[in-house]
Amino acid sequence: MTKIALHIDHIVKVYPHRHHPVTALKEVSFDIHDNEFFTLLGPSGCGKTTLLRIIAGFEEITAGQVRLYGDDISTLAPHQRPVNTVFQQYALFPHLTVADNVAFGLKRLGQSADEVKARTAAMLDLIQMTEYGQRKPHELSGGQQQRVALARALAPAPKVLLLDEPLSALDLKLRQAMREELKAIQKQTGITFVFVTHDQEEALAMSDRIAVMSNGEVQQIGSPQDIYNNPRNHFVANFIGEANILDVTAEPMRGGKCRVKLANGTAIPLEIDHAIDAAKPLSIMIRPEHLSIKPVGKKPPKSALIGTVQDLSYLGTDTQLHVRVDDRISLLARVQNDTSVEGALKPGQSVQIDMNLNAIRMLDH
Amino acid sequence: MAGLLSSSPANKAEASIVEGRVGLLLLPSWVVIGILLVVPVLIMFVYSFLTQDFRGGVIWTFTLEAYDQFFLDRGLFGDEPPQIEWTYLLIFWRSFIQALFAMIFCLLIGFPTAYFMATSPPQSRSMLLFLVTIPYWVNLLIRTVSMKFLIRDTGPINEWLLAMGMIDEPIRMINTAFAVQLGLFYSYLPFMVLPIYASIERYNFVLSEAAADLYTGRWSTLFRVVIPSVKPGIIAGCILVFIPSLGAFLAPDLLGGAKNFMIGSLVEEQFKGQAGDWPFGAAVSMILLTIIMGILLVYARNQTQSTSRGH
Ligand SMILES: Nc1ncnc2c1ncn2[C@@H]1O[C@H](COP(=O)(O)OP(=O)(O)OP(=O)(O)O)[C@@H](O)[C@H]1O
Ligand SMILES: [Mg+2]
Repeated sequence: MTKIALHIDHIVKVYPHRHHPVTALKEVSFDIHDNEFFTLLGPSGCGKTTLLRIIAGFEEITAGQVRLYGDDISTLAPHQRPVNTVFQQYALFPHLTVADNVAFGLKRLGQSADEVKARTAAMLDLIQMTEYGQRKPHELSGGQQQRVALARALAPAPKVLLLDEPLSALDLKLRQAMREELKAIQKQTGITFVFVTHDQEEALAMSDRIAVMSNGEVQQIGSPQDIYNNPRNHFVANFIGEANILDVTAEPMRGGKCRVKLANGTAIPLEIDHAIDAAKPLSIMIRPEHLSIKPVGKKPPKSALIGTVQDLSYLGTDTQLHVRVDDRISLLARVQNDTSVEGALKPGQSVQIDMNLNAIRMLDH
Repeated sequence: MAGLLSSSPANKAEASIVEGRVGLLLLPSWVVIGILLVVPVLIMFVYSFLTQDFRGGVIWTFTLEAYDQFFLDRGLFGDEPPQIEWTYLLIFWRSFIQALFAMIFCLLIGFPTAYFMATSPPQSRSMLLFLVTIPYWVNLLIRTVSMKFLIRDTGPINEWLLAMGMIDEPIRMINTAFAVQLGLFYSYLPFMVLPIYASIERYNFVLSEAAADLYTGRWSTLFRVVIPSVKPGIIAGCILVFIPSLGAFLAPDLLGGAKNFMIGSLVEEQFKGQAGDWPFGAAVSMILLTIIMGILLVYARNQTQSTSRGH
């Protein structure tokens, strides 16, 4: 059984405001496993930073509990929690050298001078900045400051490391390099990482598991594949990657199957794993890469979905196109550029759209 | 930018034109610095080497008389073998101690005040700043005189303590070193508060969170992170309190009485009325100026050394 590092238990956070208090978290509950690279992903203002600051101890909890390996830490002051943070703007101490920054937490923990020295050297080695020990933070590039902030937070070997959008201030190339480095350091140190980002690509690339948040609530938790392939609801489907979401009506059939009808009457047979309530409004989701597009043949099958290409955009390996079926249905599709199809497509052309039935998902609202 | 500009000859010419214009723009500040700073000091410097005119003013004859008078004691008639003159050195010493304590008290009270102001909600900060500067709407002389009324033997403080039965006879405050201290503290406290306030307001409080995150308690954070980060403001405040305290004459004159004579009063006396000795006053000022410059230079040298060493 996996050990649970952090247990977030029905946490509510209300920021008191004179006129209208802001509810930043509405009863959030989930577990973060030992040794895991866990990501909090969500749009701006959804409460990611608030949750991270609650774990670190910088914000008081309105209701609920935080447990760290079983112990309730909700009432401990930040300096009493065996948890360290990598701050978004690094927050390196400007008056101290790189080495003194890294050694800061170790000294406060009362380690001996020899231990501090050895550990600091090991950390500088880990981030490959051994020669920079005597520099001041302002003498470093953004990426180097980022790495020092990481080393400083890792040095005391915290039980959990919290990272609040640590890569957002870096340029794209550096960000991608740092992703891999961070991931490697997490595996190497075996420390549980809780990583905050609003960049879904970053989350998919780095995480063992992701919690997708919106509006102070967790929408879905799962592995990157799980979240991408089986989004539970509209929000997750839209937020992670690109999705075609179509309103449907459903008629259940025998043997765990059902048939859904699109707004234009096209029927699609689906396998479903849970009972559906045909009375509720339902929708299905299909990713653009699971649509195949080809010019309409001489005699298209009666059931085929036919549309008109609205526009094409060239994306390097892929071409992305909008296809309009009718007033209510418009689809986003993606075709690979090494296929014969792509050259043949032009705006205004009639095309036949085939869906990969296995990739269609029913969404809760 | 400058490097880019000077890469080709044509651009080089352009760059020097730009530089010339910048020089022109700086002209007013050079004029101000010259007239307001350099020229007065030069006049004092020259006067300190001239001969005293007994009706005030100077006679244009070079002499070292003023400096001789400051450092050497040649007896009542000036014919004994020279010994060190302690009178003025003692006044200097007393002034330094007074100024040092004024600086320390201002720092001890000023830092928490500035911290409180800078961490108040932004709406109330301007109000607090306003309150700190209000006393400055009243002339320093008048404020010092009111202080005198407040602390004299028959002033409200003593009367109140007597009425409450806490003391049997008035506490002697006026004409003591304490009174001078109080006067200096009161006069220069805002000079400590304002620069510290400005640097705390610019301080990034995430650094305090980072310290707390790294197992540092509140007091330790204050001394290890906050104070080192706002050090420039603290030093500016200390200089702004120490130096005017050193040359102050209102507080020592009005509150300290004859026993607590300070440099400021000594200089003031030389230029006041008919009996003044201008060259001597100028010499005292030049000696004081030299000492202060010396302190600041030593400080600046240490500062640059420690930054270049990366500590
Ligand atoms: N100190 C505060 N006082 C009042 N409201 C706050 C405070 N901090 C955050 N909030 C509100 O709480 C909500 C969640 O904020 P939070 O900073 O956690 O968002 P976030 O997910 O980190 O967003 P971002 O991606 O922009 O950093 C927002 O509506 C925000 O306005
Ligand atoms: Mg945030």
